[in-house]
Amino acid sequence: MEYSGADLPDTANIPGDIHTTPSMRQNWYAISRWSLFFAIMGFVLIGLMLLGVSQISKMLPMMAYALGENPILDAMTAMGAVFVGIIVLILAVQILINFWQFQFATQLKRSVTYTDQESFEQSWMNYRNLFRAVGIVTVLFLALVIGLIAFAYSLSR
Amino acid sequence: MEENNQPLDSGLSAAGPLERLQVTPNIKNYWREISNWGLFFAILGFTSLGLMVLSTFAGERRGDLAGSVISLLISGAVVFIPYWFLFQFARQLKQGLDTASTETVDAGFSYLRRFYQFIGVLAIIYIGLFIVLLVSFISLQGRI
Repeated sequence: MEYSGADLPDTANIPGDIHTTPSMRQNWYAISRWSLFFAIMGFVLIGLMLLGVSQISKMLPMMAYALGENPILDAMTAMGAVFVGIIVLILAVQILINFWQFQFATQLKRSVTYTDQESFEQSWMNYRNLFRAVGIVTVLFLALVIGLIAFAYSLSR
Repeated sequence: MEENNQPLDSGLSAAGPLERLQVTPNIKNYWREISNWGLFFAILGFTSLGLMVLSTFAGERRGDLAGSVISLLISGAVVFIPYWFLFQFARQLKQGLDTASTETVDAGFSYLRRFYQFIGVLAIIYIGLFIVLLVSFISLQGRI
């Protein structure tokens, strides 16, 4: 008879191997407060960036009106749309990352204050999502930089 | 006959398992992934610091070297310390999960708290400096 391994104990489910301590709770409480501070700062930064983007989209039509028909300005307007598109994409990613940061902070604080197991689990899931998103963005950015360097090197030869 | 005569607060005694937060297998999985990404960010940070040092020594003439070394030490320390905390957090959390050691996990989270404290204080200093510069710029504009 083939052995399936189904009767092996699930070591990950053994209770009490790692438990929470008062010192951990103190650390988590401090982490949640700082995390909330960074989330709020991030939202303020996003607001300022949105303000900047709205100004760029207002400035280009004003310049077109003042200068009249101008091929350089037309090219700038076309580039401006691409530029605004890239910024909007960056903002969308930043909003998502900030949302997870905010969720992590509030849920961790709630879980530590009220011993709420569900919030505790949700907070770490949000923190995992935050790390994963920042990691993927970093990997994409590194790939872009390496690609650009390789492209510049191939042009120089 | 089914026994329904249970007190409402059963399981919520001081020594009961519901009193403290439980580290479930799901949470362990999240912590493991967080520690992996944390190690990745820390190693990336150390690499960027190494590149910063290399570019300073490669690009400077002998006369400017002393000034560059001083500025490198200051900026290097500011960059190195948070990455060191992040590295220690990730390493200890991973080790704690592998050996099922509460003490090591606890030490890992103390490094995460230090990481947040360091970059938080740094952010407050930067915001303060920015406000001071903004106010002085506006007051200078008013005088001209």
